[in-house]
Amino acid sequence: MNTKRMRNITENSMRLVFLTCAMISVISVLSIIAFVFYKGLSPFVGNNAYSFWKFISGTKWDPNNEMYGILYMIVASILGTLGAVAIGVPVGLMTAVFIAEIAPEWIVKIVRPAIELLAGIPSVIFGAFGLGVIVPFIDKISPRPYGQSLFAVICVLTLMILPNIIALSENAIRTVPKSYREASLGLGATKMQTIFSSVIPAAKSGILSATVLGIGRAIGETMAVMMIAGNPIGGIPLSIWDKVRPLTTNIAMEMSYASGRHQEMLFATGVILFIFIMLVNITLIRLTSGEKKVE
Amino acid sequence: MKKKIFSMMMVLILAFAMTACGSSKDENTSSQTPTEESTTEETPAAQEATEEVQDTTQDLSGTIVITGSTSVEKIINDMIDEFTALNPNVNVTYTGTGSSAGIEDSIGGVNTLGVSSRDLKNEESEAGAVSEVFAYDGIAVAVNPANDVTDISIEDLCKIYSGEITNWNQVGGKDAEIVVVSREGASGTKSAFEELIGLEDAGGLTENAMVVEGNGNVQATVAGDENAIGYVSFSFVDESVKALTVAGVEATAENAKAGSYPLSRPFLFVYNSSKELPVEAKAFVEFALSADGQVFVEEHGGIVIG
Amino acid sequence: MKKDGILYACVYLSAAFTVSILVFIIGFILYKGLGNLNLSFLTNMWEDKTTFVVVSENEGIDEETISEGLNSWEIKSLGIVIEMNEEGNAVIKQIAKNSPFKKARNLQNNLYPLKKSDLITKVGSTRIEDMSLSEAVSAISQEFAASSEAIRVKAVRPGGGILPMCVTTFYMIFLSIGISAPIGILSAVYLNEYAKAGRLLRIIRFAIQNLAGIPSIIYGLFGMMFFVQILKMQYSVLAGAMTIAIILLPTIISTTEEALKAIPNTYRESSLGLGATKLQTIFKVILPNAIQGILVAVILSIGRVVGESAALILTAGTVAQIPTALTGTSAGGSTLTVKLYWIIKETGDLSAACSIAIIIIGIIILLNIGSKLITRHFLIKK
Repeated sequence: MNTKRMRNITENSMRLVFLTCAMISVISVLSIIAFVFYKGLSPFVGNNAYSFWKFISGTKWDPNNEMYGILYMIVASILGTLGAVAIGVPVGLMTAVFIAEIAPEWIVKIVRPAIELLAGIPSVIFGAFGLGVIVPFIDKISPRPYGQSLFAVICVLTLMILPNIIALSENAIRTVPKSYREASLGLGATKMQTIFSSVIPAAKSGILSATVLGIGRAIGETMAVMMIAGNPIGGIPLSIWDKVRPLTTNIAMEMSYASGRHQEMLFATGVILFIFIMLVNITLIRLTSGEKKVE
Repeated sequence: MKKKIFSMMMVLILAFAMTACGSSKDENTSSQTPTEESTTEETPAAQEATEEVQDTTQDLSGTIVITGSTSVEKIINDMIDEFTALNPNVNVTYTGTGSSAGIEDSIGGVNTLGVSSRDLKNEESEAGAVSEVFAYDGIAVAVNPANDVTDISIEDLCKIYSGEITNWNQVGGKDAEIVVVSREGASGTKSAFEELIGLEDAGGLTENAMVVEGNGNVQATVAGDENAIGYVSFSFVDESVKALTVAGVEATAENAKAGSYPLSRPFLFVYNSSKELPVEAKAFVEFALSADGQVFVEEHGGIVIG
Repeated sequence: MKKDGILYACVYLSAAFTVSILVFIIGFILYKGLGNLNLSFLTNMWEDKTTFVVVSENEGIDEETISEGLNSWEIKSLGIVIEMNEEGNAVIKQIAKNSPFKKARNLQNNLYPLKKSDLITKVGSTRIEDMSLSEAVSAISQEFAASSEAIRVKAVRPGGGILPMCVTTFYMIFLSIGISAPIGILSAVYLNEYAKAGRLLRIIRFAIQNLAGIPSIIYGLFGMMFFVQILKMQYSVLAGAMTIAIILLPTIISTTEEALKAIPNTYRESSLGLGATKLQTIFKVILPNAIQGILVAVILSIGRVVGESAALILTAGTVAQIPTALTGTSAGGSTLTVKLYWIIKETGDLSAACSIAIIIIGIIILLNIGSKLITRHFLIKK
């Protein structure tokens, strides 16, 4: 009888422990969202509020003169991300096809760990590489007299999202059942036709979610981009040779010393960034849950 | 029985995690008390920073956290080195966060001492920050060694940084677009430089300017770009860049001290007036102001006080 | 058929491009950074450390004990061989075991033996700077000959090493995983095994999945305001570790949940059917079967701690020291990655940065191998 009671107590107390842990996790993550939004939205309410429209549509960031426009940063973030995805996804997908469908086993054994290593390299190292190799190179070919530019950002972001896209696309391609390939080959299609008209369409949702994850990583990347973007205080980029200041670098560059309104504006920048990521994530979750339903 | 041991373990792990969260609060309250205690044990003779005094300062102990300007880095690191050699029980750390961040930290009480490479702004003084000058420094205008421009006037500098002049041929160089390199907003060098050339009245920094973090990045960018112009503290000028003469005056410590070099500014210690400075921090300030500390100012191209 | 050829070309080109990028990056880093890499880079402190030491065993000195070499002179009675560095400081090239410098004491009266490659910058009241070798040796020997009392020597132990950053990185890994792994794993167990399916659970899952993608700079914002300023932890390893722990939580929770979900329900049912309690089922049946997934998640998290920079700059600071406390003034420290960034920012010195990068990539390779080994180990077991 006694052991049973003891057992019940342990069961219940452990249940409580599990619950507490879950609560700690949920509360800590929720409080971050709440905190960032509270701090980030406060400059737009109350008296002496800053116009939200001016914030979202302004093209100059000059905290000393109370000018907080982030449109040019939003544009920079979006263009940088789109550019990286436009190059990274096709290249990544092709590489995934190579690994999953074409390459002999011994090559896969070399290439795959290499890609895993690429995925694990910290972003500052990509930044150092960008600063030491990509920026001087762009300086040479660019019509502008400097190398820090939107193009440099796109290059480095492409390198950074490639390994993720490859790994996820490869996974998606491998999960396509053999019967698809056999049926297509049996109908007389060549290997390439099979891959591009049967296998890839079947792996579509996995590839799409790889793309979306790539977008998420590209838009959130901070340190590598800060080292190569040029970070001007204003001006919408009109060509890929222009300097840009993405949303993330704005926060990282100024957070350590900002105070008062300036600091709140950096949180507001964080909120905008957050909303972008949310949109990306919701798309991703939709995609993956859609995939599961299909299964 | 095994199950019990296991559950005990899990409880322990949790307890560890909880105390990890909880203890932070206790420790931080306790971390503040030593400062108060040490101030009560006032040791008046503690400030002998001179090396020759043999019965020195071993009674000093504690930690001094210095944050702020990155321009003073070389000077302050050498001072810290010497000071901690003399006072082995004192631990001094310096983090280069930018002048504004250092002043902000001093007001917020996050550091023991702030260092700044610009004067305090009015609102900072109102918030309780007080300062003590420990050196003066010149700001060198740096261009790539391949640039044939050798001299520039303050007016032209202002026009370059406000975006009015965009080509080197307007200031006597070859026909090439000027790449303007500026610093991040926390930089004391930036605010001192902009104030000295009167940039505010000319409409502020051009949107075309590249903004980089840290003296080292300015140096590297200018060294790597033939058409770039930047500004760095005297102590950062080396052979990879060329310092322009400003209005005909060479960028040397002597000229800055004599007042003929126009771009110079003070290096300050900043602390909070509402909080008494711990005795070891006082000792450090006095060491920095003493002849022994000023040696390092001179060594790194700074201008000694007095 | 022509189209096939083009596609083949694209595929091969892409794969070659990806691999060449990696080769190029690694090559660049090795090329720039390998030159600096030696043992003292790994074992030295970052900053030079100046110490005043008192050499009490002064047995006097006579000229005969000095023997001249080409680039270095030996002072036999002091048991040292001296050479000069570029700044004109005397460097100890060799030091004998019985040298009086080995019994030197610092100002706290603790033993502070001088070592090979320490600099002697001042002896008694003579500064040893900008001197030639013979001047320096005669200055040292004169000071020791002049008095029979204890002599005060200013010694500089050269820095330039990354030991403090290695230690801080280790602390950071240990603390942040120590906080986030238990909480994350237990949370996942609760969500998967206890919580009743419903709207609330869906919302929680959604929030957690969402947070896995939030850029670390946003966590850094939070950590700086909350841990560093409001809780007054100051720039410290604990503030950094707690911020990273929150960053890691969503990943650990969702990976653990994936692993838990992969366990067939029949395992649970048969365990419960045999009379085991729910707790016994969790610890004896479910967790052991999910351990591979959990371990891989932990290893991936370590990789993330090693690579993190943005959030740590704002919460743990950039001081190159070995933290001696969890919070407060002497607790700040920079990890390898943060220092790498700081070096580029403050000195523009790419080759020093690349040397650190080599170390970081080494760690990442070890972690990748580790996760491979774990996966293989469990595959064989099954």
